[in-house]
Amino acid sequence: MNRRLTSVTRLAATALLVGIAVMACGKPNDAAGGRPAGPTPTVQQSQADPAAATLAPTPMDAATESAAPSDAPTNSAAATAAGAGAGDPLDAQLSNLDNLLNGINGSLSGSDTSGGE
Amino acid sequence: MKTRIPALLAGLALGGALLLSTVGAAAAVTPPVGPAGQGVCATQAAAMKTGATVETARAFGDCEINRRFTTLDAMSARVSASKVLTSSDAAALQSEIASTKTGLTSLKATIDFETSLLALKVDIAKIATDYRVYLLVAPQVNFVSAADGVVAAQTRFADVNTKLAARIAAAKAAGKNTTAAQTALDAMNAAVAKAVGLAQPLPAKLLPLTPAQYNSGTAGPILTSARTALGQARDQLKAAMASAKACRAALK
Repeated sequence: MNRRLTSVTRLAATALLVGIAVMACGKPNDAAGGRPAGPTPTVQQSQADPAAATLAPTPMDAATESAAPSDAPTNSAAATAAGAGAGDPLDAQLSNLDNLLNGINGSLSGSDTSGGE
Repeated sequence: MKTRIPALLAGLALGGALLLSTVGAAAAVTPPVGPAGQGVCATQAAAMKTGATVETARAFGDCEINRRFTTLDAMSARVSASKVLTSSDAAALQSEIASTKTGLTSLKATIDFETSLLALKVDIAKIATDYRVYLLVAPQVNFVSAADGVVAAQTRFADVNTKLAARIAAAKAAGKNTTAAQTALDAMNAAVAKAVGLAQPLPAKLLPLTPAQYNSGTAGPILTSARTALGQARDQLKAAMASAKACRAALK
C-alpha cells in the first residue's frame, strides 16, 4: 500500500514538474498569441515565396521601430547593449541604429523574387 | 522498483500529453505571418496541367488568389505595425493593398461563376497581370519601408551627433586632441546626409506605380533603380555607424 502511495506521489510530482516546464515554454507563445488569428499555414517556410517571407516583421518593424524617442531602449537587444555599456546612452542608440539597418536590409532582400508572377 | 517504472512512464506520458496540448494550442493561436508561397498551389497547378477542366482551372485560380490575399494581409499588418513609415506613405500603401484586395475579390467572384474554360484561363492570367502583387506591390511595400527607415535613421543619428559633439567639446576643453574624433563625426554626418539624399525621393517615385506601368515596362527600371539607391543608402548608413564608433573610440 505504501509502495503504491509512493508511486502515485511520484507520478503526481513528475506530472507537476513537466507541467510547470511546459507552462514556462509556452509563455513566449502566449505573448505572440495576441496577434490576430490568420489562416492555417499551408506551406513550410522553405516553400514560401521569399519575397513574401520577409514580409514578416523585420527587426526594423518589430524591434528598432518600437524604440522610444528618448535614450531608453525599448527592445531587448538594445536593452542588453545598454546594460553591457553600463550607462552610456550611445551604446543603446547605436544598437538601435544597428537594428534599423537590419530592418532596411530585410526590406531590401525581401523583394528579390516574383512569387511566381 | 517494479512499481517505479510504470509510475515514471505514466508521469512522462501525462507530461507529454500536457506538452502536446500546449504546443497545439500555441500553434492554433500563433499562425505564421509569412504569406503563402508559390508552392501552395502546386497541387492545383498539376491538376490543371493533367486535366484542364472548368473545375481544375477554378481551383487553381482560387488558390492563386487566396495566396495573394494572405500576402496582402501580411503586408497590411506590417504597414500597420511600422513605426518608421510616415503616415502618408503608410496610408498610400494601405490604400493600394486594399484596392488590390478589392480587385482580386471581384476577380475571384468572376472565376467562381465562370463556366467556360477558355474564359477562365483569361481570368486566371489577370490574377498576375492586373494586380502584380509579387512583382510590384510587395516591392513597393518593402522599398518604401526601407526608404522611410533610412530617413528615420537621420533623426537617431542627429541624437548621436549631439552627444558626440558634446563629448568632443568637453575633451577639447580638457586640452585633448580631438582632431580624429571630429573627422570621424564629420564623416558620420556626411554619410547620413548622402543616405537620406538617396532614400528620401523614393516613396514619391514608387507609390504611384501601377500594374499597367509594370506590364508596359516603365515600372521595372524605377524599381531597379530604387533598389540600387536603397542599397547605397544602407551602405552609407553602415559607414555612418562605423564613423560614429570611430569617433567615440577616439575620445576614449
